[in-house]
Amino acid sequence: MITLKSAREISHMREAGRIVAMALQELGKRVAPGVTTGELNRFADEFLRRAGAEPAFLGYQGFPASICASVNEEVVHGIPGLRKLENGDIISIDIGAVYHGYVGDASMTFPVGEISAEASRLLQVTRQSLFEGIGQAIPGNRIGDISAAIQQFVEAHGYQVVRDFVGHGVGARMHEEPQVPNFGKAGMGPRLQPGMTIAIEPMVNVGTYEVMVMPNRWTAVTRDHSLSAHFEHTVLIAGGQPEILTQI
Amino acid sequence: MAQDGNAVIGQLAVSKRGRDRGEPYLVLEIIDEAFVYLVNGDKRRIENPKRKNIKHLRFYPTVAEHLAQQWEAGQKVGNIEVRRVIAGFMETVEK
Repeated sequence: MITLKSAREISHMREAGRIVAMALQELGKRVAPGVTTGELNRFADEFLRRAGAEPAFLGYQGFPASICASVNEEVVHGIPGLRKLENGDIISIDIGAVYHGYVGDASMTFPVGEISAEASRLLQVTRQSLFEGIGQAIPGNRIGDISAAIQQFVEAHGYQVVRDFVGHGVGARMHEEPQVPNFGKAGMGPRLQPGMTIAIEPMVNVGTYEVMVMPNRWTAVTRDHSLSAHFEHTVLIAGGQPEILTQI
Repeated sequence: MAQDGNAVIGQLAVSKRGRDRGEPYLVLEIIDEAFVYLVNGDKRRIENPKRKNIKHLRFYPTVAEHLAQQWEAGQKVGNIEVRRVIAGFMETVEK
């Protein structure tokens, strides 16, 4: 069942989204060569709690940290730890906050120091593909319109969208209906209505879209070890243009 | 955090096609890209799971983690627990 959020629920989600956006902004300032992903996780965890929120990821189906930190060929769900970031890496940081029982969920891929032209282009295309998708998140459209817009934009730039992981409804729980794939046909899937809140999150690979999950049961990496990027916003379907809840 | 777009072990799924339409199950095993084995602890017990096409199921974003861990480890147990978990899940989805 797809839930439509009340004004009160939306106000909590706005605040959860704002906290997530601020946390990502601060995390971006701390991404640098020599910093470990574990340090970023610690910072994020403290930041969320000081802001009056709880980390949404910690303990979620057993996930052991408050952010996902996915470096280079890691697509999503990288577990933060002792890995030191190196100049030229890219790191996707995914973070979720629970505020008054409601979840905000967002992700960004950051460059570490100086990155290659290819990596830089990947980040630009992935970020823009998210906004292509958000542009379709208007009442009367269908989930498939979002999916198709993302897929077409990404493939037109010579990259691939991941199939095995998808965006999702978000609200009182992190994963709600409907699924929001980053591939598919326009005009298909559930119809969008004002009050729906969804996380749109293209995961884009330079090479094949195939991924495999590492033995830790979480970290997904590209099968051909090509670079992968991930941008995500929590979006409210409003009367007209969508409202991005995880943007300051 | 991205959602696994594929069926996962322990996930709640409701039949949308066939004579069992509307019946809730948990995913016991993933056979291949098209089929899964399902259990409901009653007519379809762990020793006699139902094979069903993924296209004929509606998957919910809810996973029974404790059962999934046992099943992945090869311990195919828990008919009573399956019934209990499904009853609990259905309360949350059928509002």
